[in-house]
Amino acid sequence: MPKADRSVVTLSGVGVSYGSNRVFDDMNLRLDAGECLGVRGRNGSGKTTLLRLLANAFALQHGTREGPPRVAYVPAALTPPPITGRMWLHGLPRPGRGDPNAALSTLAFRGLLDKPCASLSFGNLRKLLLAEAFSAGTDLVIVDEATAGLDAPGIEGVKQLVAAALRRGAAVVMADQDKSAMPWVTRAVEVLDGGVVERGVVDGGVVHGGVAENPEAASAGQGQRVQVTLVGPGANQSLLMATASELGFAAPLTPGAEEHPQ
Amino acid sequence: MTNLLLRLTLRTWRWLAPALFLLVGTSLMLHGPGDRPALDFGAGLVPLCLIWAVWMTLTVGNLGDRPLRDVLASAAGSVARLHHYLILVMVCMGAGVSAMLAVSTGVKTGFADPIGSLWVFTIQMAVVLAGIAIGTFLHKPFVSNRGVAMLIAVAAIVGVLRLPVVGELLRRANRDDPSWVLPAFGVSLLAVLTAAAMSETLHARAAR
Repeated sequence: MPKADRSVVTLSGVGVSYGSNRVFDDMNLRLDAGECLGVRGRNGSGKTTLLRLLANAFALQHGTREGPPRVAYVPAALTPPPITGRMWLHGLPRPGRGDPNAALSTLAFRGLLDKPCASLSFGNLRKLLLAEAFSAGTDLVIVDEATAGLDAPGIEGVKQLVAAALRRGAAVVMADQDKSAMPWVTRAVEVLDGGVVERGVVDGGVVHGGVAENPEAASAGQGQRVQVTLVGPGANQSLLMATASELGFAAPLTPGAEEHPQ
Repeated sequence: MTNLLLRLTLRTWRWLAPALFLLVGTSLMLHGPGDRPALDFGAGLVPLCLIWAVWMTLTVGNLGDRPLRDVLASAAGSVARLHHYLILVMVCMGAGVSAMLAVSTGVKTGFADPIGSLWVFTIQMAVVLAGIAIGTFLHKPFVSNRGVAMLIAVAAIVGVLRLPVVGELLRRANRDDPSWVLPAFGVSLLAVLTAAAMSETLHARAAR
């Protein structure tokens, strides 16, 4: 998939702690227009915190975030807002809003828009939130637990909405526990040990750490050599390398290795 | 965004308890002969209005759960901007309540002193702004336990009402002397603006 060089959002030197629990330490991440970033990680690793940072829904403790202030964000779950679905679709301030009803059709939404959101099923509430987010016209769309609660037509609808968002130059970030649930991602990262490890840039990108075979790409039938970027604090570079090796990268990774054009 | 936040607030129905408290309190306060100056009645309503403002600010600030507030913050542009919108919603509701209290005292005094009713509106707005400034520091994520927030709120309300300058403001208002009303409004406005300006820092600290 072609990518533009325009950065949509960049996190630089970001540090996040909850009390004595350090979630991110000097973390850097850049997302370009036309990219769909898949975020994975263990429970409690910091996936949602990363998404909240990107979504501008989390006040930075350390570091900077450069990117659009207004973001469309769909959390993993939320208590249904005490308004109707129609009010939700049109209530948030979205200067470049598209047609949310078209997005609802794409997602095969079958609920009643004039009933309170609390009367919707979990799946239909997810579809409502997704339709609002993907029709918002923002440069960045972020979805936590991308396919949770969705039926097959809903998942197909998400695929189409993601493709449409990428075509218009937006960037999409999605988190999901299920590795095979997001075949549309163009780049995957794993959140671990205070940083973000790139798990596969399938269609190019900058190489900092080296080149390795990505076993997941191979098992998914792609099988090509992929570039792998490790992003993290300098002091923890060797730890990140070791962790990446543990995760199953076939070739050894060497810090500061020469860049290998694809 | 303000419109959506107002709708969300109204449809939670959590405004009902503070509204009933204010309605009953005002009815009792305005019970009796109406030959006192409007501003005297207005001074009597100050504690009620302060409690209502702190209570409602906590209610509005604790709107929804964290994921909903995340969605609203990302749509608003940042957590600080969402905070500003919440303050704006409270100011709008506070202006409405202050206007109703001014009209109530006007009805009670037979609108004999329209200027006095205007002073009643101003003093209630000053109290509302002070209540917003207090409540802003007490809702989530700054104070996540509602019980603790309520205890601190009660202490803060009692503390404000026992301040010598507030006592003097009320004594003068009882004598139909509005000379301290505008300075009180200015101080309260400054307090709210300070609370709004500190939003980003407060949220970053609260997230730790």
